Amino acid sequence: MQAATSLNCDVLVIGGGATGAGVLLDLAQRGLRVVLAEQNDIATGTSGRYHGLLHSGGRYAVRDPESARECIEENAIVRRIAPHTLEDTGGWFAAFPPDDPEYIPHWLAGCKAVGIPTESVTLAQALKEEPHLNPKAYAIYRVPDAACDSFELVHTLTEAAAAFGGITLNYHRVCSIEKAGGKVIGALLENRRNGAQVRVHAGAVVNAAGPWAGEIAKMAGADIHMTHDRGIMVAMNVRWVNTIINRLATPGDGDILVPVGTVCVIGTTSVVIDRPDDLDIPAEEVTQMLDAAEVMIPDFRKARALRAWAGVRPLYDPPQKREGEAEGGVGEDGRFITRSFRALSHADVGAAGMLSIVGGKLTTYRQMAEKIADEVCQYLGVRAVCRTAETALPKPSWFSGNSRRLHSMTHRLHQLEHAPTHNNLICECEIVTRDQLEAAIKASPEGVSLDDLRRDLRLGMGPCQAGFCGYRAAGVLGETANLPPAESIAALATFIQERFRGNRPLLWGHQLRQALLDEMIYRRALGVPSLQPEAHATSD
Amino acid sequence: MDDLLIIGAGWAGLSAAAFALHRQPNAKIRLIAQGIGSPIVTPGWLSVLDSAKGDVLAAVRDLITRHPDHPYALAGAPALESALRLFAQISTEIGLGYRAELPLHNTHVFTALGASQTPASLPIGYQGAAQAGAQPLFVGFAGWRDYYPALSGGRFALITPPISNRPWDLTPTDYARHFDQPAFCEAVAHALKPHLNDATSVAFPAVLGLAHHAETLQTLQTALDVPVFELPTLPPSVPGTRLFNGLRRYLLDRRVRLQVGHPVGCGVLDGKRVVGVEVIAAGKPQFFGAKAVILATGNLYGGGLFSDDYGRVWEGIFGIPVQYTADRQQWFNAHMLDERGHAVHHFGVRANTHMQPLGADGEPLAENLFVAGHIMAHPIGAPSPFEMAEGVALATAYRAVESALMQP
Repeated sequence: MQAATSLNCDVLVIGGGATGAGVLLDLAQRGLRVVLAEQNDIATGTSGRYHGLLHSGGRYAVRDPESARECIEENAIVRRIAPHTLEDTGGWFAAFPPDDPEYIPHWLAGCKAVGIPTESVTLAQALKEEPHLNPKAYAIYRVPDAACDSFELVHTLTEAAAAFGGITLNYHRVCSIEKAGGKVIGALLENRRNGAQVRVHAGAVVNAAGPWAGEIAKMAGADIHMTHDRGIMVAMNVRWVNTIINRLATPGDGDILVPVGTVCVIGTTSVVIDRPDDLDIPAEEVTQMLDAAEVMIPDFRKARALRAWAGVRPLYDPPQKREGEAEGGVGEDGRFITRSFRALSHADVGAAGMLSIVGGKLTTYRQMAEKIADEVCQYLGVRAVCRTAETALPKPSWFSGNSRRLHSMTHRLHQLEHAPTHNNLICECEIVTRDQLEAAIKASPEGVSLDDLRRDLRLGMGPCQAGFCGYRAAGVLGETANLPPAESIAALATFIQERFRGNRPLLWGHQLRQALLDEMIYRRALGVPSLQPEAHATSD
Repeated sequence: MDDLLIIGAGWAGLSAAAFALHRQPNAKIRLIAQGIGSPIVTPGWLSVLDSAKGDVLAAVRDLITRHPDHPYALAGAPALESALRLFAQISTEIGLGYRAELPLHNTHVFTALGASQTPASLPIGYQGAAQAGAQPLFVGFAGWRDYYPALSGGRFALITPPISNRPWDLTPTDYARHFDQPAFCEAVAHALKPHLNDATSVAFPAVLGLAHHAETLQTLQTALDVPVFELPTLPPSVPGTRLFNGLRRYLLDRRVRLQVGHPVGCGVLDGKRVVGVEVIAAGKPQFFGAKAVILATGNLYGGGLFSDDYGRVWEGIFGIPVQYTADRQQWFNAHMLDERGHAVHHFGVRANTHMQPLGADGEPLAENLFVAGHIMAHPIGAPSPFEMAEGVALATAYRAVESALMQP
């Protein structure tokens, strides 16, 4: 263990999801010195584990108008400031038997009350636009939903913050929150890649750790009441629709269908769990999702399920509200808790200057960040106004124009066809070339994992789930980063297991055959060593 | 009307056809398959019981006593022994030289990741691993995506093969076709010489020729003057393709009707007898009548068994009941490379010692229907089917042929 290095800043933000990155940018833009600490890579918690929907707010129009209003306001802003992170698919709310027709007037009134524009779509028009839609749909309304690439969004936020001096420390875990004289004064971090300690001296701390916010608050001596609400999502290898489809009914399980890139995602469930890292996916929940999706798209099951993942909604669940709730309650279903957010102060436990953020959702990240930043500035006695709603975020070089109407593969295909020397495909499913992989490895810090590269490049995310590209990527990683063979092989074994974790709940039919083929390749042809759980834990 | 109709062109189906020829050279034999089976993806060596120490057949006999429902037990140890002997003989005729001298001992081969595998019998390309010596040199082709010699451990060399046009997006089979040309082999040997130093042997990915494999090995060995051997690659497997091509030629030359690319839709029964099968064809299903049918369509991977997300597993042609666990959560363990394997590997149809598949009542489904290969259930608790993949295919194929050709 090395001696702790120290960093001085005005504000330490804990958590590298959309909320934390939003706060980082907001405060940095106001001229404060801000450091963000994230225990893994950025956007790997709830922000990276959702269905990819930029809400119009329609989902909350009846039961949670406060959230609905926040959504529609922020929807317009995100479209303006970060169009490159969106695919402007638009969305529909559609009612199918046995959805209750009585719900529709309530929903329309709710949308009107908070300013969500709705437009009726005839069935004939709907089927023309989306031929796979269940023709039994009896009411369809268009709303301004969009598909959002949360990785791109959060990365863009940290990049924008960096331009204002905001520092992002990924793979840094908080070991302790430090207090003195009734105030929070900073935190001790550990760099998980090399074990080095970093002492951060900060005038204020923002706890935006999402599902882990309770654990961080506990380090400051505070007990916050949170509910961990797990939702699963399943991605199919067919983009059945170009439009987001929501069930026009009381929010329930499996009623959102989002086209994302080449795939289509059905979500989600809502199951209250004890621990934020309990991300197991029960097989029956997957079947439940497919059953639900078939109500909207009757052919849905005919596609191949590629990936299932679970995200944990960090919902705020104050004890007094729970007692006062007459019907519904919290119980098994976290959906009865508002999706709005709260910022909790911890002055009562001698940690003035620390704010814990609970609740909220990706669509409203900016508004949350603004409110939190206002409070932080007030605490620090800084007078500076928020400018995030007016300031466009930096756009990548490939992005031109103002919006991306629909996804296309043309960017990578174009590169490939016009640069034949790049034709060395490592991942054939997702079109990842050797040049791209080498460039990503060289741009990454030492110890980059194949899973980190996957998030950059989509490596191993197609139907073969790394059966072929895993070995190739390990070979290229070894050659490019000059790793000893044992390290490349360990990287492969870890990647295989990581891919399998998300694939395992989806193993039936063709995807099961694929898994058996992959297993044959690893076990017989290559002889990949099986991971020793202990060894894995220490290298993690 | 054929005397014997075999469905499936994997190790089990192809060897069943060859075994049937040996038993009754004049029989009318037809093999129908949806596509090339397991050889195209498996390493191409013959695993009988990879974990066996000492005499492999003795270890199989021991397994038989512990698991009386195991495919080896149903086929019987004599069937395995005869199958191995006959397969070795046929493989020599087609130039692949699998050895099966008794007592059979597992032998060591290298993988591309420097691991050691221990199958019982090898084709000639892998046999040089026994003379690898202390300093094998692992050779790869610069920029080729399918083999990285640095990961094989020890010493390695990357050479630039004399392929001018796009030397990267090549499959192992593409490379094998290049190696079929003597000029290419000599150029590779020439490029390699400066790297040899005191290497005791040279290992290549398994692409050393397709149609002229033996000559390629010989050319390289002579030019380099050390033992040369192959390492299995990502699919397509060239050693498996050599076997498929070799057996295909062997069967065609002996007038077996071979129809690959013809999926069988369903079996046709008359009471307790199979009368034939219907093949999916343009226009309308095509009927093929047969006195006996051997079903060698494989397991969930091979394509004989199907599954869905409700946790159902079924056999696709005759609707034979499958032995499986309905709780899909139990199909796989948490870790893909768990040394215990997975429950799903063991799913399959039950059969008696004549290789007749059993119906729900425990009685043979039809008197002239037989199964061979990994469509058969492996008992839970038995070793992984992966470590006996080819041995089980050969033994059950041999036994199924014995039973099928006794049909009136």
